[in-house]
Amino acid sequence: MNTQAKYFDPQTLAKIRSIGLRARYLVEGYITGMHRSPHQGRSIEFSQHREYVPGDDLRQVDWKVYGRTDKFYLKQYEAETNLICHILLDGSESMSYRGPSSSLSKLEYAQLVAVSFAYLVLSQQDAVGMALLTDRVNQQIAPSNSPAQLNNLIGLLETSIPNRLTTLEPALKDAASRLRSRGVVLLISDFLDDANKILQGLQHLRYQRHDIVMIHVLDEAEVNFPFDQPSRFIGLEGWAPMIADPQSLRSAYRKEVQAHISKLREGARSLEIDYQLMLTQQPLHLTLPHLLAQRRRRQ
Amino acid sequence: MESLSSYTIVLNFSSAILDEAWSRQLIASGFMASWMLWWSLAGLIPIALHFWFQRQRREMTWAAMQFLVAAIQKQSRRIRLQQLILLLLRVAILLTLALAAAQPFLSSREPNWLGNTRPPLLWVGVIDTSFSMQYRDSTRQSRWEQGIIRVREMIEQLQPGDGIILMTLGNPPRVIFSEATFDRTTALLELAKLAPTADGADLSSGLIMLDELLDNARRSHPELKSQHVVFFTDTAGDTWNAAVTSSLESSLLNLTKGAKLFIERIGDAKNDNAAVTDLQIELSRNPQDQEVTFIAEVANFSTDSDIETNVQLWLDQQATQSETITLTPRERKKVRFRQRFSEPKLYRVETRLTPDGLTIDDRRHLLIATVADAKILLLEDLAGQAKYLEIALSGAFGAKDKWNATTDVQSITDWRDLDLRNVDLLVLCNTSNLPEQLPTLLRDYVQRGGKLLGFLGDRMDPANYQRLAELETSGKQTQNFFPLVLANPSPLAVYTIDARNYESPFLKVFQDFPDSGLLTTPIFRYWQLDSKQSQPDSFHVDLAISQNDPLLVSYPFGNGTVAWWLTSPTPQPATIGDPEPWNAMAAWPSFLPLIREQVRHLTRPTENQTQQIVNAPLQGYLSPEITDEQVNILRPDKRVDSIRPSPPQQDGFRTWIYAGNNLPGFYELQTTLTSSNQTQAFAVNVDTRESDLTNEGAKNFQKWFSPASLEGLTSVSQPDPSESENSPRSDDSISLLNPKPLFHWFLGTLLGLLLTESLVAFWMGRSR
Repeated sequence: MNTQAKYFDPQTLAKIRSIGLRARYLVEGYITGMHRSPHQGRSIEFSQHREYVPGDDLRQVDWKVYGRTDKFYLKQYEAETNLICHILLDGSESMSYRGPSSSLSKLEYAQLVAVSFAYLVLSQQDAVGMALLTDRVNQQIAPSNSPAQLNNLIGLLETSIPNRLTTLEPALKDAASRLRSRGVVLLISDFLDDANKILQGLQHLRYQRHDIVMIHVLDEAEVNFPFDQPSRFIGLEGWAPMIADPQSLRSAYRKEVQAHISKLREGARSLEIDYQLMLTQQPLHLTLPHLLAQRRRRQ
Repeated sequence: MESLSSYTIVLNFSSAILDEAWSRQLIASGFMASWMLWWSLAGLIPIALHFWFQRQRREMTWAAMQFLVAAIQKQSRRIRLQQLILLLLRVAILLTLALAAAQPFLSSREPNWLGNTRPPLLWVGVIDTSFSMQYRDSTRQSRWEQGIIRVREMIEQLQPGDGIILMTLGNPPRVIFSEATFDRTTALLELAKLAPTADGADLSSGLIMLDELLDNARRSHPELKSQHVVFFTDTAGDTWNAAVTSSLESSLLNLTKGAKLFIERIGDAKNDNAAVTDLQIELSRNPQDQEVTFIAEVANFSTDSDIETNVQLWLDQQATQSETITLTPRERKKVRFRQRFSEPKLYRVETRLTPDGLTIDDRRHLLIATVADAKILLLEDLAGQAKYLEIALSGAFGAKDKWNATTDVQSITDWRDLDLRNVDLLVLCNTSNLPEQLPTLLRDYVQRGGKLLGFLGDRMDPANYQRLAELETSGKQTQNFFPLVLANPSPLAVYTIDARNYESPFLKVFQDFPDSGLLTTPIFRYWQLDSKQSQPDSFHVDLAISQNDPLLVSYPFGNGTVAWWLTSPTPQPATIGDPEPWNAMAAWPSFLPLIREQVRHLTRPTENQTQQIVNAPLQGYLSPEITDEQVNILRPDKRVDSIRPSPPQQDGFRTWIYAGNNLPGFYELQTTLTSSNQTQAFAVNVDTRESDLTNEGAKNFQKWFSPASLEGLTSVSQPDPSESENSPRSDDSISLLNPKPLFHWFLGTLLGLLLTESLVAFWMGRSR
């Protein structure tokens, strides 16, 4: 099967393209048009310099400043820019979990979400980049709106290997320092970490005034704990195996999960972050449009 | 199993550890079915399963461990507690079940909370099954029913740990448990299966059997220190009224050395009972014109009451005559019924009384076979020897003569062609020799019910006839087939006949006619017997010579009869030896009636051969044409039993024996050739010695049985509470306090545990 076709569920595409993606806040981008961007772009009026980051257009480098300082800086102009979408994908080992009744692992599902968003962004001539998170930003592709960007992103996804251990807070902090262009940050993760630390990490991104969308990917089994038989649970990411009777623990487990989700949701709201819980059994052509519609209503 | 199931632990604690009084109190405790304790190992099963399931967990990779850990931390303590409670409940259930099944018991000197007060003992119940126990008194309950209730009550009052043996005192006595059982339920179940019999009770054999049982029990169960034997009986009937023989005394003495004997008297002292004690055909006269006289003897066994009863004669299930009589206490009366029979066949005759408290002896049964005409076969080895007999026995003389016999004369040399199946009377007419196998043939014929009449005249060879005496007899037959030892012919003289007071029934016709010629019949010569070797008690002398030498003798043999004239049948000159005729009997006017009356007497309707007492085996013969491998006996209760006849005898006849006649009434042999002419039937009656319900004889046994019990106590004496703690308890005091079996406590606990486990599991399921 064609790589792109693999990532593009025709039903999914049909749903998303009819809605479009719009930035809620001013974002900087490369294509003038629909979006308001607080960032200086390629306009007549010079605005300021900013430090060069890999992937920036070399044509914007102020060589005079380089001559003086031996450092690369870009010229920024007041202009309406395109949306820049940063997709941050959790690459931890826990994402590789696939429940007994699921056809996709969390990682595969997250990759689908990521690619779907990337395609949508690119179809609007907006720029999209991607970074894989472990305990830091592991791999990164700078935002671009070139037609080849999608393949680049897909290539990154296919070569990624789930890392054993992920702590989101330092990874988000690292990501915040790297994402210079304000834009939409699409954080896709299972958020199986301390909720407070996750929110602390998100705060770093929020300080950068990114428009953050949290997509919380979980397997239905992780939410409902539907098992009956006493079992030996072998933990991922270094957790010690544990024997438990699911029947006797189900109620307490569900409470823990719901408490965690609630905490993340509340925390996200307080940080003005969009939060969406997606279960891997839910079809994308329903969940993504729902998310996009929600954002549209809040604009 | 029974020997393994009893297990007594004698607990012996050091007095330094325990209170001395308590340690002395506890004599024995343990389990009656200790092998069931092995099931307590089943209590390990839930524990083993618990650990096995722990090792056999399903494994799965799990990402959201943080939530699982958090849940476990919050629930772990509660879960562990719940699982522990369930585990303990399940182990307790299995342990309790095993303990309950092992039937634990406690017994001690002092009454404990169970009420047990004595060491375990062996309890033997001897239940009288004689038919006097079927007597129903004014309560309408039979003594048997009352006795069973008493036995049941006593068994239920026994303590856990007591051994139980049951036996019946019948004829013969029977053991229900050869090994002691400690399970009261089993004993009660077997008790419910018992039934009284139609027979008496053999006390002597019963005591011997009891002695063996007690001996075995002492060896098998030494922990049962004392043995108590309780006889449940009405102390009536022949069982207890017979004299105490020396062997009986010896048996009782032996028993009382190791056991205590008690009598539980069943029923009240009432002894009103009437019974038909005998029923027979009158033999004082020969039956004339198909009319038979039946004599029924009725007895009143009461000691203080007159009894009025209606005596009925029944023929083939139909009442034909009746007579009401009154009997004073202990009186016996004979009631006569004359009955005419219209056709020759086998008739079932019964005498019935008005039913009273004991109905089994109110009837008596009899069979009578009337024959149309007697078939007589005369054998001779010289033509003419049978001539005069043939003339006398065949045909009627005149219109008023109702003689109806048929005769046939054959040469004895043709004995192999003899068909004796339909011959009613076989006559040997002065034959000299008996061919090789003929003696055996004659013996078997008579044993089966045939009649043999022989004339021993001049031609008879004593040595040859002695072979008849040497024939083997079978079964209970003790009579010699030929008990006469012939010496020599008498000297030639004129002898007169002695009619022996006309005792023989067939001579009655001559009693009132002394001039009829019988006493003057000319006898010139006869065979004299060797007085030293003959067996005068083995035959009856019907006629004698005036010197007391027998002239005509007769005796029963098997089911038949044999009669011998010790003189020639013919007035012709002798053919061997002195040619003088031996007698002129055939020419004398008394010859015809004499011979006919004798033949009529010999061929009269028979009844005694087919009458038997309950449990005395029935036996008969199958003719050669009946080839069935098995034959059936139709019983009075309509049940059919099958029996196998013995292999054929020389003449092709087969014998059969049936020992299952345990009920009074008519029994009929059924074969594939059964017809009215060939029916073999028997009339079985009870032995009415058991009908006497007085129990005066029981006092003769007083010295061996507990005196208190013979006075009509219905329970053994209770322990005397005034006895001191240190004094040993007498074995006389058997505590019959009602103990509370430990088994029920355990069972109740088990049910409680099961209910608790269900509730706890349900609650835990809801709380998840």
